[in-house]
Parts: sequence; structure tokens; C-alpha cells
Amino acid sequence: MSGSANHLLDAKTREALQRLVWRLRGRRAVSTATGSERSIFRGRGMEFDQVVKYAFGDDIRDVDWNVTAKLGDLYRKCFVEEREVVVFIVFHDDPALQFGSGPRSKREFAIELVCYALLLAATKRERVGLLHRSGSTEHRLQPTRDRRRILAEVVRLLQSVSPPLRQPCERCRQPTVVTGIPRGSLVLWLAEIPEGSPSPQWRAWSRHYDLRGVRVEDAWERSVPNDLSAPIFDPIADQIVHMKPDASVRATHEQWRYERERRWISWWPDSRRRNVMDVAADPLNQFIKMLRAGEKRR
Amino acid sequence: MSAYLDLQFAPALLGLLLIPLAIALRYRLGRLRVDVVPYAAAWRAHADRWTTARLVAWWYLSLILLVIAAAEPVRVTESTVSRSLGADVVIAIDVSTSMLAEDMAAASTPKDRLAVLKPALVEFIKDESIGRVGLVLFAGRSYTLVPLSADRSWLRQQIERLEIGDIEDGTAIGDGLGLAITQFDLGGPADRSRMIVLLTDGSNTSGVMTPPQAAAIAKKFSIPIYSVAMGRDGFAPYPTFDAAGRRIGSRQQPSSVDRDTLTTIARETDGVHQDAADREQLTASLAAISSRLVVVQKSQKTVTRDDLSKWLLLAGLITLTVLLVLLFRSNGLRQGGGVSHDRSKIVDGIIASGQFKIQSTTGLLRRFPLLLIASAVGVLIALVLSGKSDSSPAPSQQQILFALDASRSMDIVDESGVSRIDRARRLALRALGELESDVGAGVLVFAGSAHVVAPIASERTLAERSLASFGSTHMLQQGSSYLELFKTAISTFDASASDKVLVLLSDGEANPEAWAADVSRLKAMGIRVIAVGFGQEKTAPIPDVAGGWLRDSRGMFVYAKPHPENLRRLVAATSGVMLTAQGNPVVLRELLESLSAAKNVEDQRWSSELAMSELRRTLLSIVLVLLLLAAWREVPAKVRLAAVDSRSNRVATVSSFVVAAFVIVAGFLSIRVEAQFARPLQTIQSAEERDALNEVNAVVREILSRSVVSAEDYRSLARAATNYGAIHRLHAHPISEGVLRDGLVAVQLGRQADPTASDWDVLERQLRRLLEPPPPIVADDGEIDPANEPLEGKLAMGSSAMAEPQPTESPQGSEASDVDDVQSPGGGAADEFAASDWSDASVAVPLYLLREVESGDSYAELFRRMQWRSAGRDIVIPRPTQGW
Repeated sequence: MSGSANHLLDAKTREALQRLVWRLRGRRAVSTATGSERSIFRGRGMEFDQVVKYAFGDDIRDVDWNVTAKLGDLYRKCFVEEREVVVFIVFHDDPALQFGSGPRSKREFAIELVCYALLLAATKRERVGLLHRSGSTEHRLQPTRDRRRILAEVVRLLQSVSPPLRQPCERCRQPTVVTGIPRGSLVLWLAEIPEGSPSPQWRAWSRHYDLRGVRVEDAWERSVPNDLSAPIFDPIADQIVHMKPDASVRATHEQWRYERERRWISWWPDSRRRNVMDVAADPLNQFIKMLRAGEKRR
Repeated sequence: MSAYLDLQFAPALLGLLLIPLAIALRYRLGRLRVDVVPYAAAWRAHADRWTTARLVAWWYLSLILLVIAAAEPVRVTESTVSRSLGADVVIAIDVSTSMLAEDMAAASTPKDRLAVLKPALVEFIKDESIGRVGLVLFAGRSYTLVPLSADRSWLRQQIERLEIGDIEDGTAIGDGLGLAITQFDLGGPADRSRMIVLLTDGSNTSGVMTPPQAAAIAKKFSIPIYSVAMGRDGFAPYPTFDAAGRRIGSRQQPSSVDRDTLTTIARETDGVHQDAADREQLTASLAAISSRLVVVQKSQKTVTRDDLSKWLLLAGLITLTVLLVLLFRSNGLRQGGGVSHDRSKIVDGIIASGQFKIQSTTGLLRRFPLLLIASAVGVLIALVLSGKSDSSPAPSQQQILFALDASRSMDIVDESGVSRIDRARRLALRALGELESDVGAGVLVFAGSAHVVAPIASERTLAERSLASFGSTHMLQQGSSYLELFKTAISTFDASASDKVLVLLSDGEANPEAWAADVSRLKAMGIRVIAVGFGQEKTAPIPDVAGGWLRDSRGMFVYAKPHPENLRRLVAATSGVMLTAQGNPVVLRELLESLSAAKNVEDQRWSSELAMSELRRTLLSIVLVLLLLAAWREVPAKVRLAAVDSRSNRVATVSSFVVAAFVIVAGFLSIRVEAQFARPLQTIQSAEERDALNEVNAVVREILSRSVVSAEDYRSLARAATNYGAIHRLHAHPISEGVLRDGLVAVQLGRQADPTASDWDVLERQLRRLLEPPPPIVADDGEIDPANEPLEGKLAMGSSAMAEPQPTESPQGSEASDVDDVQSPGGGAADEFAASDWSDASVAVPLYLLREVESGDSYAELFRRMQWRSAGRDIVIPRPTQGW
């Protein structure tokens, strides 16, 4: 960023941005994220290189039957990684994210996570896109590797205002198929657990992408705190609640958590594609951990 | 005994209107401070409605308790107690030489009849059936020794002082009875039984009245005469004395008692005659008289008021404290819990008017329910204030001792033509007349020695008589001994009195000069000296009794000069006040102001208590408003979430604000108006001296505007009229008689409405005194101040009354003119005889003679005679024309 651009940022945003960038500049972080791969975000996309004779142990699925038929010998296709993997981030700025029993709210965690993803992509000159749904508004960044645009998007995210608590976005709560994403893209779906069960359209659509579901979880969602005594406003249910953390509340909480996990699994049945991040832990480390886990699975 | 609840500030109950107002406010504008926790509704097993309801219940309880406390409820206990009013007994004692007979005691221990009588009398006056006792002495003429007084110790002292020979010999039984009759208040119906006890051993041989004439007057006024004939008829032993006055033996002399006359007058007046030949019979006779004393039982309604507001305030404080604790636990101070609110990212907000609004509670001011805390502090202060007003002691009595300098130098006639002592007496008499009835006043005369001639008491009769009659001729030891004055004054004051004032009326001449060392004793006892200096600062010859000038042993004139510097030193040492009578036409006002200065301290204390009460009311009003605001801002309300961004909801909210503001302002104004309307009228009076007539008019307007007039209102009117009269009298302004008569009517109506609501008798007495024409004020030039001259006096006053006293007139002469001018000694009672009494032919002549007897009474003269006799000097019989 140029010096003049710095002047356009407020101190808080500038500080937050610098903190993100400095953390990513550490070689350890970058090397950990990229490893020996050419691309940091490796999906299934592969680029055809040449046809070579089949040797024992090669994947039989790579056999090029056309060439084999013509030449009479068993040939297989040889692929290299796609150099341009599109990373697309879908971030639902849900009102439920505006909570944090610790020093960081779920929303802050999620924004930091998105910013890391954007900045990593910009560092490796990958094409990255973003769909940011906040309340009734929707902002979209078409996949690009223009660093200026990506940085501008990071700044916009850092400066974004929380959506109104009492304006629950129905679309946010019900994930819908996002169009315009290049087929085969790596899609990071960062949102709360959607309500209801996934529709058939969702299932069909998700097959075309390397879809990863990410949700952020707070300690209070794992267990009922002991000092829950003040009147509570639940923006999700749009209700005012008075309760004490007694045994019945704890039992109800357990039941709620079970139902919630069940729903989460129903949306992301593949355990490799669903990720739960603790709001109390470091977002970058958890993000890199998620990427490395994907690499191993590969 | 009956008890009921009363409200001293009933308009405060209008504050209960705050409850529906609060309900409306809370319904529409109520707020709930919340934490935002997503999904929390899904964790709830059941609805917890009691947390908020419990808080709100405590708040309502606090409000109701404090509103009732603001109404100042009192538990009124009315009980009727019968008060015993002892009889008024005037004892007429024969002190003629026939009382020297030693026939009533055992022969082994010869005692004259008076000596036998003294202990019997002392026992007699101890009887609780006797309320007040007066002592009248008679021999050749009669004197009042003690007017009716309840001071037993003073009476006992005076009885002990009785000696035979103080009065020229003779037996003026009629005069003695007549003078005894004048001791009673004959102006109106008696509220207690009255009686004259006549103790004599002879027959009427002198005096202007005969016993039957006196008995006729006594019968007229229903005063029974109980006569006791002392001694036996026949020969009785009388002591014989040598030239030095020592008893050397006895001799038999004839003795007889006019039993027929005594029996007749006793029978005529419904009394009883008894014979007392010896000590036992005398005691039995007096006991028999005691048994006939009638104690009037006067029922008196006593009302006690127990303030209940402090208990309600305490209860309100407790409920507020509980509310605060519950609020802290449920809402406010979560830092003590498992989650630090300051370090968490839990969104704080409020729900008001159906809408959620983010509002951080991390700040100290927002986290604490300041309105409720301020309310609790206000209630605590109000509680402390009510405790203070309860614990304040009743004002204690003010004691004033007038010290009259009766030295010869006070006889000097200044250029005004009035002697210094005359001016001093007039000033003291007028000041005495203006004092409040609850102020104790006494008189001390001093020259070479100092004597208390009227003990400090609320009864003024003796003090007035003493001031009217005492002069330098009545003092045995001449000089101006301040040392004796201080010593006697210190022993006279009651140490427990809150304000002790010594009014020194002197020319400042002090002999011996070394008196300054004893001033510290005055100061140590808290005696404040108001010194009034008399005389011009120039040397003048001292007049003597014969009408000439006093000369020393060398035949040279004796001169005297005032020493005001002595008085200044004295007042400086006792933090007193120095006044100068010479050339000061407003010395009376200055003296009264100085006297009331200390009383004002008490008044200020009462005023401060009144102010404290007002402060408490104001404080509670503020507390109630704060509580109302707390219901809006801090006490959690049962809110309902409205639709998001509802326009109609905003309109309703604004409307509610407008309505609530209107109701609050209207309610507050109505309370203020009601409070002002129902405020006791006496609070209209302020410490500053406002136009008293306007105050009277204001009170009358207030009363006329009311449908029901209470005794308290009548008391206010009577007080306002008294205040008007006192101020106008003080400033020598003409007084509108109608105002005072209105005050008297108010006293009558108020007494009918509630006899216990005020001291109606005192108010009536003050008003009647104000209705009497004031004595003319003589200015320094000797002219009567026309502003203060009563109209009746102008019409009736002849040229002789207006004539200036001659400077060369003897002190006796000037005293006589003063007596006529100010007040006749023992006077007042005869003036109260109604015209109908005089129209009764049977008593017209006796009444005329009675006035003559009364005019011959002089307490000062009797004091002089007793003083001179005790000093062993010959008693100088004054000229009969002096008219004591």
C-alpha cells in the first residue's frame, strides 16, 4: 500500500491491516500455508501435460483409451496441477456472529479469517472472489488476482459495520446456490449453521465445487455459563429471555447443541469438508491447520 | 383514650398518582437492560417471569412506602387527664404587738404567738390542695408581703422573716382582709377555689375598713373567710425587754379576741371561725381549713403525636436497598461472576419502546442504577433529618433578672425632670409588660447590699410591684456594690435555664471599685448582662430625703457622676449589650430587641427545625421524582418487542412522552399548590419583620377562602393580631383596635373548636394587654410622646398630670408621681371591678375604702421596714400622705 492510501484509512483499520499483513509475512506462516505446492489452494482442478506409457501402479483412471486404441499399447494421461485455482469465499455476516464471551467476537474472528484468506491469495497471486452478505445487503468481488482490489476488499471488510441485530436476513440463514463461481473453484463457506435441511439444488450445486464449510463456535455454545442471570435478548429468536443456569437449562442446552450438530452434518456430510473453529483460538493457525488437513487428505 | 392516624401533609398522598403514571410510563416507555446472546431462547427450559416481577414489586413497594411517608402520618393519641387546680389562699396575718403574748406554747419554752404560728404556717402551705398562697400582714395598717405565688420556698423564706414590730402597732383587721381580697383576680370567674385565712388575736382597732365592710366585699366575690382566733381571753404573759431589746422576763397583760366579729364575718362569707388557744389547736384549726380546701378538677385533653413517617422512611430505605441488591445481582455488576463483562464481547443494550438499542454498560455511570442510588441516599438523609427534628429538645426557659440600682445617686433628677431611678423603673416595667408569658422575670434591688425582692417566675405581679415601689430610701446600706449584686444574681438564676440575662439598670457608679474579678463568675454561669446606663455625664448633687441636697460630714454637697465605662467593661466581659437611656427615645425597643436576641436563638432553632421539615418534604418530593425516573430508566420493565422500525410505534412513543411530561408537570404543580394551600397559616410569618397588618389581612383572606376553619387557623389569626399589636406597640404606632378585637374573637372561636390547640389564655391575655392604653413615653425633654399617648389619656389627662415634675422635688415625691404614672402597687385588681359591682350599694362604700387600703400597700416600704428592723434600727414611720 502506498503512503497516500494509508492516509485514507483510519487508525484502527490501518492497525488491524498491518497486524494481518505482518503475521502473513512471517515465513513460517507462508511456508506452512503453501508448503511445496505451487498453489496454496489446491482443489481437484488439474491441467493435462502429456501421454506416457502406463506403468504398474499408475492410476488406472488416468488411462487414455483413445491413444491406447490407436497405438495398441497402454498409455496414460499425465497431469500437472492447475496453476490458476479460483478461491471463492462466501461470508454470511449473520447477527448470530455478534457474540463473544471472550475477548473476541465470532464476527471479528470470521472477518479476520476472510482477510487472511484474501491476503494469502493476493500474496500467491491466486484468483480470489468474495461474496459478503450482511443483512439485506450483498457485496461481491469477482475472482481476481489484482492485489489492489483484494486489499481494498480487505479494508472494506475491516471497516464493515455489523448488521442490525433485529434484521435477521432470511437469505443468510438459508444458504442458497451462489451462481457465477467458476466450476471447480475452492469455495470457503463461512457462516452460521443454516436453518433447516439442505435442498436438492444445494446438493447438486455443491458437487461442482470443492466446498468447505467453516463455522465459528463460542464457549457458551458448548456449555451454559454459570453467571447467566441478566435479561437476555436473543436476536435469532427475537425474544427476551430470563433464565438462570440451572439443571433444566443445561439439559436444554445440551439438546440444542445436539440438534445443531446434527443439522451441521446434514449440510456438510463429508467430515473433511466441514470445519469448526474456536473463537478463542488463533484464526490464522486454525486456518492453516484447515488447509494442511486438506492437503493431507489429498 | 383514643388513638387514630392523622396525616400532617395529606396532599403528599397525591403522589400515589405516580403509580398509574409509572405503570403507563413503564408500559410505553419502560426499558429493559439486556445482554445479547444469540440462541439463548433455545436454551430456556421454561419462562422465568419472576425475576423482573420481583424487582418491580420491590420498586412499587418502595414508592408506596415513601409516598405515605411523605404524607407524614402520625399516630394521634388523645387522652383526657384531670388536672388538679389547687386553691388560692391568702393568709392575712396579724403582726401587732399583741402577738407577742406567750400563751400558746409551753411555759417551759416561752414563744410568742407569731413564733408558734410560723411553723404551723409552713406546714399549712405544704398542703397539695393549695395552689397558690399570698401573704398579707397587718397591724396598724396592712401590707402585702407576697402576692399569690406558687413558689413554696420563697413563701417559706418570707414566713421565716416575719417579725412583730415592722408595722406601726394596731390591729387593722378590716384593712388586712381588704388587702387580702385585692390579691385575687376579681375581674372574671375564678377557675379555682379561693379562700382567705385570717389569723388574729385581737379586735379591729385601726385602719380605714371595718371587718364587716371587707366581709361584704368578700361575700360579693364569693371568697370565704376562715378566721382563727389565736390565744386565750384573759391575762396572758407578755415578754419584757431591756433597752437593748433583750428579753428580760414577762408580765401578765389582758388579752381578748373579738370572736363575735370573727364569727360573723366567717359566717357571712360561708367560712368558718375557729379558736386556737395553743399550738395543737392552731395546727388542728389549720388542718381543718385544709380539709375544706376544694381542689378543682379540670379535665384537660392531651394529645400526643407519634411520628410514623420515620418508620416508613426506614422501610422504604430497606426496600430500596433490597431492590438495589437484586438489581446488582441480576443486571449490574457481572464483573464478579465468571465472565468479565469489560473483557467480553457480549453486546449490551436496552429494549425501550419495543425496540432494541445497543447501549454499552461498561462505563461506571451506566452500570450503576444511579437514580435508585440517589433515591436511597435521599431517603437516608430524610431519615436523618426526621431523627434530628425528633430529638430536638423543647426550648428551655429564658430567665431575666432586672437589677435596679437603688443607690442615692440614682435619685438625681436629670434635665428631663425625671429622676434616674424613675426612668429605670419605667423602662423595666414597660419591658416587663412586653415580655412573653413563658419568660421568667425577677427583680433585684441593690445599693450597698443586694436583695432579691421578686424571685424569677412567670408570675409578674410581685416583680411589677417591686419595680414600681422600690427606691433608694428603702435600702438600708447605701452605696453601689456590684460585688453584692453579682453574688446575689448568681444565686438567683436557675443554672438549667438556657438564657440568663441580667438587666442592670444603673448609672454605673460602683463602690467598691474592685468588682471586675467577680465578673468571670457571671460569665462562667452563662449570665449575659444588658446594662442600661442612666444619667448625663456630668457631676450633679445628690438629693436627700428631706428635699434638700445630701451633705457630707463637713457640710459639703455630695456629688455623683455616672460611670458608663464601668457598664461597658461589664458588658464587654460578659458578651452583653450596653444601652444608654439618656437621650435615647428608643431605649425600650433596643432593650426588648436585646432581650429577644437570645430568645431568637430558640426561635431560630425552631425555624431551623421547620426548615428541616420543609427540607425533608422537598427531599422526599425529589426522591419520588427520581423513583419515577428510575421506573423509566433503571427498573426493568416488562417490555414487548415491537415490529422492527415501526413508524406507528415511534408516534406512540413520542405521544407517550408528551402525555407523561404533561402528567408529571400537572401533578407536581397540583401538589405544590395543594401544599401551599394546606400549609399551616403560621408559616406565613417570617423571621423578618413584615407588615404585620398585611399578615393579618392575609390570614383573614385565607380563612375566608376556606369552607372549614380549624382551631389552628384561629390560632394563626390570633397570633397575627398579637404580632401586629406588639410590633405597633413597640414602634409606638397607633393600633387599630378592631384588629385586636378580631384576634379576641378568634381566640374564643378557637377555644370552642379545640381547647388544646393552643394556649388560648396566653393569647387572650396578650391581646387584652395590647388593648389597654400604653403608659405614655416620656422623652428626654420630659414631654410625653404624642405618638404613644392613648386617646383616652389625652381626653382624661388634666393639666396636673401633664405638669413636669419639679427638679427640686424630693425623691419620695417623685416616686409617688411615678407610682401614679406607671402602676399602683398592688393595683390592677380594683380596676377590674365591673361597673355593676360599684352599682351595688352594699359594697360601693367598702369598694371605695378598699381602693384606699390598696393604695396604701407598698411592698417596698414593708421591705424597708423588715430590713431596718433586722438591722436593729428604729423604723421611720413614713408620712401618711405618701400613700403607699
